[in-house]
Amino acid sequence: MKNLLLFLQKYNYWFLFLLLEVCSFILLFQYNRYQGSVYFTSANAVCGYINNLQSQVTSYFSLKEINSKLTEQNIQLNLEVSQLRSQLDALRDSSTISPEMKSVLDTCRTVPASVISMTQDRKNNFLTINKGSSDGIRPEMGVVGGSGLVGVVFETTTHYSLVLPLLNTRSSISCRIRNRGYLGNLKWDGDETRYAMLEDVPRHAYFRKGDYVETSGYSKTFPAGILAGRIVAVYDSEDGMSYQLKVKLSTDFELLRDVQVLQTSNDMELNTLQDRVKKLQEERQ
Amino acid sequence: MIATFLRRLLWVIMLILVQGLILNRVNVMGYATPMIYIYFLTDFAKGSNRSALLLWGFVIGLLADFFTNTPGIAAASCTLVAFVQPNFLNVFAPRDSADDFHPSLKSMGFGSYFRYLLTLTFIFQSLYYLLEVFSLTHPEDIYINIVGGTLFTVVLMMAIASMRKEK
Repeated sequence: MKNLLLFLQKYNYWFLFLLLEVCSFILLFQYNRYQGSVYFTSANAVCGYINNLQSQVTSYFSLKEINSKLTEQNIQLNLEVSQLRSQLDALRDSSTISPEMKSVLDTCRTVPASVISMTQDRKNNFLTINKGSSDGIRPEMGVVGGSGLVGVVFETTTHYSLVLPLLNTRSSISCRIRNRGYLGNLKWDGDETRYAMLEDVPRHAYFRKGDYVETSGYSKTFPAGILAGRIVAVYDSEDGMSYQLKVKLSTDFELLRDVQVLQTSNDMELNTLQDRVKKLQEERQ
Repeated sequence: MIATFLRRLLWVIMLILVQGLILNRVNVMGYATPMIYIYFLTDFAKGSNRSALLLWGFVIGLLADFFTNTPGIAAASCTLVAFVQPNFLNVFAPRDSADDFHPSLKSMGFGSYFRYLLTLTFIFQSLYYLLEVFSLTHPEDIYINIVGGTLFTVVLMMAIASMRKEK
């Protein structure tokens, strides 16, 4: 007995070592399985505060690049507006926007937010934004940047949220090829930050390099038609049953700072339903 | 006792802030990211309480994890380093060293100290990247990460060590 106690006293650090390693692994695996450990991430109050301070300082350094990018985007948007205007003039008599579609677009509210920390060099990247549940942000909401798709909200605390961006091997977003309608899942292979893969595109799909890829609208997270990128290369999938398209992402995560969170969720359905009820009532009267 | 504790706490805070604010954003050629905070664990003297060392290792790893959204990965790796540090210190320290021998550039000499840091950093980086990637589908990527990160970290730690004044 005495020997046993001596033994335990001498080697108690072995048990402590095992205990701490077990704790680490529990953290590691729980985080993958459940969404309950938000306090162990950079969205917790202290890390969020420190990162926020830092991003306030460093945001000045990239202003020049962002400015030139905004100008570029402005020009493009102006061009697009003039094009669309001419198209609209041609279609004035038989407008193609249905009232239902319009009400969906109106009910899709956005919350502006800034990125305060981000990784890009890992297989599973995350970014933290400075808006949280007190601003009406919930997990599973979509996040878009000035030039297109960014990701999906993963966790929220009161004032910060953790976003699962496209640049995370666990992220998968349902997308389609614009004007052609073929569906696929947009995934990141963990390699280059400017490219992602559109997987499971059917063999009979017809498309060209340079075609745009946009969200399909088949989930509640994103409405249809948000730009994700352009097709740059076509590969066969490993089993040869479908195409894999290499997509150049429209969002440059290196320069990403200002984003919008789409408050779609259930409000959207609810509002469209309410609008329909109203319309029915008006018709009856 | 309390002075030692406070000095260690200060080191932890300083290293974690440097790591979280600067070094996490450093990424040479897309691979080598230095992880300076394990310098803290290599700095424990011979004959330190092993349980205390383990707890410090776990805590500094967990703090580093907060900033990178990798709960458990750095904590597990740091705990392992804290566990093996006394053994490797015995291997690399001069044979006639005192019982409270403190590892440093001056007390061990450049060669031994460099090898001591290299071994511990390599152990740390290996476990860290294996846990982070958690698959062996692209082994060559992991090797480059481990080797690049290890070399970069050791160079930075040698820089810190050469700046510190010996008492």
